[in-house]
Amino acid sequence: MSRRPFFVGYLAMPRALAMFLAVVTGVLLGTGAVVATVTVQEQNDWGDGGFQWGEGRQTRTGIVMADPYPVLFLPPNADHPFGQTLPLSGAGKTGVQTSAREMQGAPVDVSGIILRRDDFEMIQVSGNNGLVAAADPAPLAGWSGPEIEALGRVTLKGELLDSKCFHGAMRPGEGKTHKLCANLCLIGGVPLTFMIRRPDGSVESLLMADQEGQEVTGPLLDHVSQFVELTGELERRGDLLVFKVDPETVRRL
Amino acid sequence: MSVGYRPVLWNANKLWYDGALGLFVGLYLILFLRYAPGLLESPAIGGAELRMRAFGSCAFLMLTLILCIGPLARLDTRFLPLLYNRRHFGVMTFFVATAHLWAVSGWYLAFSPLDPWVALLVSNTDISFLGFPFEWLGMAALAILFAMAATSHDFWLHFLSPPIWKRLHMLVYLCYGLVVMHVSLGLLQSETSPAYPVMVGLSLLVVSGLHMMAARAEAKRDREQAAPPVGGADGDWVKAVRIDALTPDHGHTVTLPNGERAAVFRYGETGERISALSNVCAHQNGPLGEGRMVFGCVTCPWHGFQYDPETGCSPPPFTEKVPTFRVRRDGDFVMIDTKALPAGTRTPPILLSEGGA
Repeated sequence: MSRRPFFVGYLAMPRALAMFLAVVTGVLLGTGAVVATVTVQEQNDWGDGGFQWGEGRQTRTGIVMADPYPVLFLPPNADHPFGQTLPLSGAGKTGVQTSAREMQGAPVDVSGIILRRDDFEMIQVSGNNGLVAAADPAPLAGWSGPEIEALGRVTLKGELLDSKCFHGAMRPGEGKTHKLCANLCLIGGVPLTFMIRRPDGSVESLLMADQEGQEVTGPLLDHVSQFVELTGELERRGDLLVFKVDPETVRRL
Repeated sequence: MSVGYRPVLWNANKLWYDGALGLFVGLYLILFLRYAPGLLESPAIGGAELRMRAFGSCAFLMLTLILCIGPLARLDTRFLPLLYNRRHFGVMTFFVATAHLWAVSGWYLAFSPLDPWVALLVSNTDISFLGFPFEWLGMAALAILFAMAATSHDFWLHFLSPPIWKRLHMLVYLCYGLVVMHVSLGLLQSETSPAYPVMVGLSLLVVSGLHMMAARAEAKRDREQAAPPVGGADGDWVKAVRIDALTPDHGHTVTLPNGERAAVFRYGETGERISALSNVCAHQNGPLGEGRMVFGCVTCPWHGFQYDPETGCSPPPFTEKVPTFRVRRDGDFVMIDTKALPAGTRTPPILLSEGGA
C-alpha cells in the first residue's frame, strides 16, 4: 500500500510532493523552451520581400494595362533594357481594375508604396489619386507599351499566388498556410501570378490570363497555393511573361 | 469544496499552479518572439506570421500537456496536484488559442472587403485533402475549447449534472484530434523541416502511449481487485478484500462482478471500522478508492471532496452524496453486497472490535 504523501488542494502541500512538483515544473518549462526554440528555428526562410515603407510614396510614369490584371509598363532604360512591368494593387486585399480600365493604354502616373522581392517590384496604389493621367507624358512620347511576342505553347509546373504576397506583403506569401489569405487577395482583385522555382532556387513570376487574355482568378481559385501543372500559350511583353491558360488543363502534382 | 459559487476559490496551491502556468506561457512566447533565433521582425518570416505561430504552437503544446495529466495521475499519484487545477490550464489554453485566432484575423483575414468571419468560412472552398481549409478545423477545435472553458466552473458542473458535464469535457479528445489535423493540413504542408512532423508525432505518441499505459494498468488493477461473488440469501455478496490488506485511513478499490467499483475504507482511531461506498466522487467522478481519510472523512484524491464513510454524505454545509454499500465480516474478509444503496444512505460499518457487524 502506498505511503506516498496525499495531496488535498486546500491543505498545505506535503514537502516531499512540493519537491517532486518543483522538478516536474522545471521539466515542463524546459520542454516549452526546447519546443519554442526548435519551432522558431526550423522555419523556412521566406525571403526578404516586403513593403518599402522607408522609401515613402513613390511615383512611376508609364502605360497602364488593365487586362488580364492591372500592371504598369515602364519604358526601357539602362537598368531595364526590356522595360519594367509593375503589377498594381489597391490598399490591402483589393485591386485597381476600375481605375486601370478607365486609363487603359494611356500614359499614367501611379503613386504608392513599392513592394520589392529581389528584382521584382509592384506598387500598392495609394488613395483615389494614386492612378491618374500622366502630368508629364513627354518621356513616353511615341511609346505605347511593349510589343507582344508569342513564345508558343508550354506546360509549366509551379504555384498559383497573389502577386502582392509574392512580393512580400505576407511572409510566407506562398504555401498552404497562406492559401486563405491568397484567395482573399485574389477575390479582392490582386493580380494572379504563377511562381516557377528554378533548380537553383531562384523564382520567375508569370502573370496569369485565360485564353482570351482576360482575368482567370475564378476558375483557378481552388488551385491557389498548390503545386500544379498548367498548359497554355506564353507571351512576352517587355520583361513580363503572360501565361494564357485553359483552366481545364490544371493538374495537381 | 464550496457551498456557494464564487468565480475562483483561491488557495495557495492554486496560486502556485497558476503562477507556474503563467510562467510557462510567458517564457514560451518570449522565447519564440524575442530571444529565439527568429526575432520579432525576423528576416526569415513576417512578424505577424511569427506571432500566429507563437500562439498556435503554444496552445498545441499546452493541449498535449493537458491530455498527459490524466493518465500520468493514474500511473503515479504524485501527479495528482497537476490534475487538481487542470481547469485553469484548460482556460489558459483557450485564451492562448484565442490569441492565435486574433493574430490570424488581424493579418491573414484583415484588409479585405470581406468581413473576417465570412472570409474565414468562404474564401477557401477547396475541400480536397491537400487543399482542405485547415482553418475550419482550428475553428472547430477553438469552439470546443470555448465550450469547455465557459462551462469549467462548478456551477455548470451542477447545472448540467456530472455525467453530462463529463461528456462535454471529454470533447477535449476531439479537440486534440482537430488540432492535429489543423497542423497536419496546414503548417506541415508548408514547412519543409522534418522537425515539425517529428514534434507532432511525438505529441501523438506521448498522449496515446500514456493513455494506453494507464488503461493497461487500470485493467490489471481491476483484475487483481476483482471480488468473487458468493451470493447469499439477503443480497448479492462478494468476497471483497482481506481485512489485513486494508491500510488504516487509506482507500482500497474493489471491482464488483457488475463492473462497478467500490471504495473500501478502514478507519477510526485504531482502524477498527470498515465501510464501503461508491468509488465515484459526486463532483467530477474522481476515484474515491484512491483517496484517504482526512479529518474523519473519505477524501477524493482529485479535488478533496469529502464524505462520511458511513452515510456517503458530505459534512454539512456541503450537500454532495454518493451511494453506499452494505458490508459484513466473514472471518478475515470484508464482504460487500453489490447492490448499491441510494446515495446518502447510512449503513453500519464493520466493527472489528466486536468481531464483525
